[in-house]
Amino acid sequence: MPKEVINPMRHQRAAIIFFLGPLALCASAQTAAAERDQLRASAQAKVANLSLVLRPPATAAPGVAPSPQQREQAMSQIHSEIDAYIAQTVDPAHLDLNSLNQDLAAILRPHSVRAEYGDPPTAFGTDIAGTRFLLVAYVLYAGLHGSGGTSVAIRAYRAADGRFELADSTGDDMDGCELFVRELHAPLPNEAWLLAWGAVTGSSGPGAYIVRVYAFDGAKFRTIWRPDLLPGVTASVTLDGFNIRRVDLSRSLPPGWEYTEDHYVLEPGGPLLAFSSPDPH
Amino acid sequence: MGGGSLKANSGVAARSARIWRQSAGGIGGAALSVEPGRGASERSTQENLPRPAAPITGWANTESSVSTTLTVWQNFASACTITIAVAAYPQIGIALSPPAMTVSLSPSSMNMSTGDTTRYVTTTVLPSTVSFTPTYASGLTGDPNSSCDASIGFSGNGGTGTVNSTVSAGPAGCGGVFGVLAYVGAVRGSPSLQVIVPPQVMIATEHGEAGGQTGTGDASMPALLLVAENRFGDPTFGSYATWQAVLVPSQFYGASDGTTDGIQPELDYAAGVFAGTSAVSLPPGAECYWSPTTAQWNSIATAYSSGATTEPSSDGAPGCWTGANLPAGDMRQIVVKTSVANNARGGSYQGAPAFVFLQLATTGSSAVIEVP
Repeated sequence: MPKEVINPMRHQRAAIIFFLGPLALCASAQTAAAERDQLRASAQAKVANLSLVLRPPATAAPGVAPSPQQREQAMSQIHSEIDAYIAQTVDPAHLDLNSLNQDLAAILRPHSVRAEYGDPPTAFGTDIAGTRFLLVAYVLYAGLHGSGGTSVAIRAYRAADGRFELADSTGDDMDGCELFVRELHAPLPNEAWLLAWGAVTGSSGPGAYIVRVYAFDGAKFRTIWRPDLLPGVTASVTLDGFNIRRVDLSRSLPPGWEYTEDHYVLEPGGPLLAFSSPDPH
Repeated sequence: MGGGSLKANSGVAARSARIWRQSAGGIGGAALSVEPGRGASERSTQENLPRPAAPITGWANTESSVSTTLTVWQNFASACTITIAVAAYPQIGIALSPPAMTVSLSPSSMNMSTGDTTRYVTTTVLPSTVSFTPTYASGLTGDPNSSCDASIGFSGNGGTGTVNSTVSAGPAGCGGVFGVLAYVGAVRGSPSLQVIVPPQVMIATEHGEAGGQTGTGDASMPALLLVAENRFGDPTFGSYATWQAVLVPSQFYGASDGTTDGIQPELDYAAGVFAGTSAVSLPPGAECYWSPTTAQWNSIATAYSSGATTEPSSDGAPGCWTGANLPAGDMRQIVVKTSVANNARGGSYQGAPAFVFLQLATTGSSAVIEVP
């Protein structure tokens, strides 16, 4: 049996691979991180510029206000920037929601609000029928109050070919509002349900709130629940549904607001009011 | 007018007299005549008034005097001169002495809602024996920032002495300021009447947002309407110009209140703001408000006393000028209006004003200011 000839070069290569492999991977990760930083910085700059259309700087000529078309175009471009950033940087196989939330908060900094008015940009990951989806919610402020005062984005992205592409959005259903979003325990398999609520910007007194429950089935959003405007709302998620705390006008002598908490359970057809209870405060 | 009475007395020189006449109310030709008694004859007025439907009767004839009662069956279109000569006795003149009729209208101003059905004005005529049906001439003198003009109407009832005429306004939800004159015949009542009909949404919003703040001198109700008025023409609040466009439930939830009539004190406050006669004022930039809880109020009061230039966190302020809606170089400033009473509810609102207000100020300004 011929003796195996030891090829010193082969060992050298193996050693190189053994030692440099992780380094290469590390370098690759560093490259990806650097690329991501670059993309984030680029998106941040673009969104900041576009936001100047919505909120002209103090040095701008007085009385020069953007037209509704200019506002709409700027907000549409910001949504596209977010879509592009997600497509370019978020790997469906390695979904890091914390990082994504931080990136979105940085990119959308001109549209950040105090915590009592709304959530920072929020991303949820979910698997529907074996496909990974990303749900993202955020608000753009248009420099106005009331209708058209904000563009509320609740957008779903589908994993395909190693990246996320836009699948659907809830449209302009909640435009004009601030936004809080919570993921619900969906009563239907292969669906993601979201509870969204927010005050109409500029609404005074107890505030007028839009509340919605949306379902996403992997292809489209549909509105599960669309109550009338409600005053003074806060909400929380429960194991089987959610609670809505609201001003109860039937018991209030304005502006001495009394609150009632409505307890909803989720059924496949939508939320059902299980019971209401006065909320002493 | 059913008819006044004129007394003709003998023993004075023939002369003319002025008598009342009415222009409104579909009055036809005036009629006055004297049915000749003994030796008397008739002569029509310069307007050739037609003969009366019934003769004057009942001349009394004594050695020293002859008298009768002349009844005016119709009203007169204007003052006119009547000369009556007694042909058989030219030395006898007849003096016609019309009564001095006065018409008064009360009140001189009135606020009402388009949903009110029991508001009335009182017209009083002297002499009190006169039977009359007042008529009213009204005109829209202003309709400040209402999306539609209201009109007003009066019931057509009559009587003697004092007549209450029911006033109605419509269409529902519209507004207007009206000048009204009352007439009895040609006599114009005094004083004129001003009727203010604020758009119903102003009343409903006050009730829905501040219905518990009814204390005397509490500026809560008019102040919150002034917040809405401050939004007129502001492009960041839609550049709206009418109460109906600004007071919507999505901005003022109380606008959804179902009040349909002129409850008090909401009506009077709304009328004052609508007509621009309210004594309550608010800085023109105050375009939002809220009702802080005791804890929120404490943080506001602390910021005020310390001269802070940063809005206190968790003060309960509404979502006005948040995010990119805050103009560059500006900050939100809390306006405390001292004439706004404390929240009547107490409890978790104990000691806090019923409303505080929000306006824009240059960055670096005081976070909280106080106004009377």
